[in-house]
Amino acid sequence: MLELDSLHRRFGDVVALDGLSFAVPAGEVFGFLGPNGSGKSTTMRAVLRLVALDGGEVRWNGHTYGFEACRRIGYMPEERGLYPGMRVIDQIVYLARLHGMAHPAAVAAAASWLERLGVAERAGDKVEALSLGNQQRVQLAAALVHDPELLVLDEPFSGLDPVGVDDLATVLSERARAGATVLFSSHQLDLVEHLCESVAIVSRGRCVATGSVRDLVRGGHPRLVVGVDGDSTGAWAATLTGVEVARNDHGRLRLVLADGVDPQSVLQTAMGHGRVEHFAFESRRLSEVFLEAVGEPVDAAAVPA
Amino acid sequence: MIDVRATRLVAGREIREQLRGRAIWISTAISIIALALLVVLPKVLSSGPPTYRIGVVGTESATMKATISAAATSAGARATEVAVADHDSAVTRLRTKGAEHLDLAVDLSGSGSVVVDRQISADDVSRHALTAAALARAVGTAKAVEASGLTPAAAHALTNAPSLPIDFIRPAPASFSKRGVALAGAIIFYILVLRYGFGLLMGVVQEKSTRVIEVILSAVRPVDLLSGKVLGSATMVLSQGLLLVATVVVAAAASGSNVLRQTGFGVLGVAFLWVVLGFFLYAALFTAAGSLASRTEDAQSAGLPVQIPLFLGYFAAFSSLGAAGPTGLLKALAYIPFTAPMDMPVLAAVGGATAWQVVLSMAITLVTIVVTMRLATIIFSRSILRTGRRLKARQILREHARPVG
Repeated sequence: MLELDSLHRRFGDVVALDGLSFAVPAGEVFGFLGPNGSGKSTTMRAVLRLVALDGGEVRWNGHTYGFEACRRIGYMPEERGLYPGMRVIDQIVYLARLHGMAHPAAVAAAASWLERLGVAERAGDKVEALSLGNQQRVQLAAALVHDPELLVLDEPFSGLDPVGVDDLATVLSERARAGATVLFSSHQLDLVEHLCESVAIVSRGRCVATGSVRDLVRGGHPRLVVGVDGDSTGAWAATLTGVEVARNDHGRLRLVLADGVDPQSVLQTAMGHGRVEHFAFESRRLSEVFLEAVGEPVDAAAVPA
Repeated sequence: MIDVRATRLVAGREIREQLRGRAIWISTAISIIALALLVVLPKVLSSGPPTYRIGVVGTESATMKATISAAATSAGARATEVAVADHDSAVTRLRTKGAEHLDLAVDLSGSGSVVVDRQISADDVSRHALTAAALARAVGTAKAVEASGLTPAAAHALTNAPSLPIDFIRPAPASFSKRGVALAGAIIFYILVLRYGFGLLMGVVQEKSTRVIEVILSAVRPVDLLSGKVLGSATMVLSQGLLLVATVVVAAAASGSNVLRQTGFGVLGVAFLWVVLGFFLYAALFTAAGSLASRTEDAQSAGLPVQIPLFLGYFAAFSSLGAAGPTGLLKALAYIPFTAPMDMPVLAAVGGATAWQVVLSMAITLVTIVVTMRLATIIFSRSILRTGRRLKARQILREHARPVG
């Protein structure tokens, strides 16, 4: 388990981390969410010991750790970077060796990861000759090659085409099943909801919500999705009391029910206006949880837990 | 303190990537060829003494024959003597090309004379002119001896009297060739340091600007990265230096040049040691300077402060070449570690420093290397992950230390 315990860091007048705490359970794919500038990258750098903390500590399996332990982490920084003039295979082998692998093992692992990520035929090319998408795949191979027990990936999905996104999602789940802990940041909330068991949402250097995705999306008011045939404006819902129309997708309404409103009465009203072609209970989307958590005034978020 | 494995991996990558480029092979080949030519050419151009056909007018005694050939030898030429009937035919044959051609003529009749085609100017030091002068002197003496009626033994004793010894008050200043080696050392140092120093600087700037540095530093401490880069470059410089020294030795041996006899392996060894010491000093500085820049555009200006002492030392070494003795500037710079690798060898060559003074200067340089490496490591560690504006070394050093790693 990776524990971040009240991390503090300021750069001049800018407070990057303001008592940030959350824990990443071992063997899970964990999503790390937050608006730009909320401290995600600084947090990840702190896990890699690339940023010195003003306060707080990072623990792995219950202990703070030194530089040597960082070699067992696979890291993909926010700003991608590889040696532009170095051959792809040499680059991956070099990074594998820096992380402590012996030469033959490094060569074998590099070749197999390039194969797995679909860039094996570019192994002999210089990195600068590759497309951005392929460079991203090579960067992933660099993070994965030494079989790390903890993966820290800053926006790993950005810049990938849908096939690449799918490949990476599969790889990350696979790594977690093999026992690795995966922490990654992303703005693609639907993807995070689909891929992660747990998430942490940060805002202004603090963790504003964390827990399993299932728990986070539960709670709140009951939601219904109702579609009435032939009524694309959703005018029928105007007569309902205690029901808010959150969204209208071509006549398919997403309704948020106030306390005490009976879903059956909503169904009856709908049936009175035409043939009901769709009726379903729905939980909150992660994006709603996110907006709610981050949209709170900062004063409220700063109330001591 | 230093992680040997990581340092070696970094150094290995630096060397491999350098050797992969074509530039290194071309520049090495050019310098080897240039240096070999420098050693071999003077020897080849002055290849062997020329053979002159010397016409002799009048009856020639055995002694005179020996005198003529000895005179030619003393002027660095060989003589093929040809009997000529009279003065006029000698004059004709001096102006004829082909088999009948004479290079010089000696007329033994009467008071005697040496005849050449064209008048010899006073400042002519060609082999031909020297031979004519030597013949004129030797034949004149021989004729005087013949006329005096002295016994051959007495005449020989007179004309071959031993020279007086030349006593001296102070020992000679170093030979020109020693100065040459010292200056060549300074030039090679300047070129190697500029080339590999800027190579290091650009390498660091590239790692920063491409952001690969963050991935590297997640596995390697800054001190190991810096050490590995400096060691990798030093290995390149060392092998280049050894290759150049080997070129000189092999070329000298193959062509029979006397370059090595005049200077000796000791001088070459000391020059090599200075290159190595000075390189470590400048390598640390260039690497630290590189870590202060974030973009390729800043690289040149970041390297400028490091270039100033380098150029100053180079300039001082050059300007001392013609001077009769050591200048005050040279004496001062020979003990300043950043200029000593270029200026101390020159100072020693012009006779301005004894062996222990050279050792003292080396010791000062060595201490400075240790201090500079420390400072460079601090600057490097604190600035390597920062991007944006170009950073100032003083500001970085003054910052409150945040231990990382």
